[in-house]
Amino acid sequence: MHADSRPTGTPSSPDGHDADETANFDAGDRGCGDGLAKELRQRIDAVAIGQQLTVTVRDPSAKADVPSVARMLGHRVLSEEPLPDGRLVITLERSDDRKADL
Amino acid sequence: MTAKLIFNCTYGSEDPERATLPFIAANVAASAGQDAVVLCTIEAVRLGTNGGTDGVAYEGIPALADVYAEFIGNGGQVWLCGVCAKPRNITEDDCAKGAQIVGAAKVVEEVVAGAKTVAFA
Repeated sequence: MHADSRPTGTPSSPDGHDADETANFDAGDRGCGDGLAKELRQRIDAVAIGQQLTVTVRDPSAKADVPSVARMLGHRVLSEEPLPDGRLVITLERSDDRKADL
Repeated sequence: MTAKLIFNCTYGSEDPERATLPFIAANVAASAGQDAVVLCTIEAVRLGTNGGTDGVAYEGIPALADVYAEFIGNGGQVWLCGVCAKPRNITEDDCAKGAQIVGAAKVVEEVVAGAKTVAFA
C-alpha cells in the first residue's frame, strides 16, 4: 500500500521542472513518426499520479495518436477540445504508476 | 468492443487492382456486419482524398469509386497513414467522406484490443 504521494505546496516533478512547466506539452506540428509517442510517455511519467497533462497538437495523426498512446499506457483521456486555429488540446490524467526507462 | 478487421491497402492509382482489392474485401466484411477498416499507406493514402478514387479501375472488377462509396455506406472506415499523408501534403481538409488521418498508435491500440489485420493485395 503506498502512502498518498500527491505533492503539497508547489508540486515538482522528478526532473526538477515545476508542475506548471511539465503539465503542459505543446507538441507543435509533430506527428506519428516524429518521436511523439516517446516524448509523450516521458512527459506524462514526469507528472504525479492524478495530475493532469495537457497536450496541444496540430498534426492530424497526432490528434488520433495521443489519446491512443495515453490509453495504452493506462492513463485517462479527460477531454479533447478543438481550437479555432485547427489545433487540438487533449487533457490527460496520469493514472498508471509504471515508469519507462526510455 | 467488437474487434476490428483492418485491411491493408498500399497501392494507389499506379496499380488499380492492388488499390481496389482491399476495398472489395473490406466491403464484404462490412456487408457481413463486421467493423471493417481500410488502412491506407504509401500511395494508397491518396485514395482517401476527395476525388482520389476517380478513374481508378481495373478491367473485370468494380470501379474503386463505387466500391469505396458502398463500403462507407455499409459503415466502413478508411484510415490514412499520417506519416504517408504528410509528405504528400494531404491534410484533414482533403479527406473524403469516411476517411481520417491516423497515426500508428491508433492502429496499434486496435490490434492490442484484438483487431486483426488482413493483407489482401
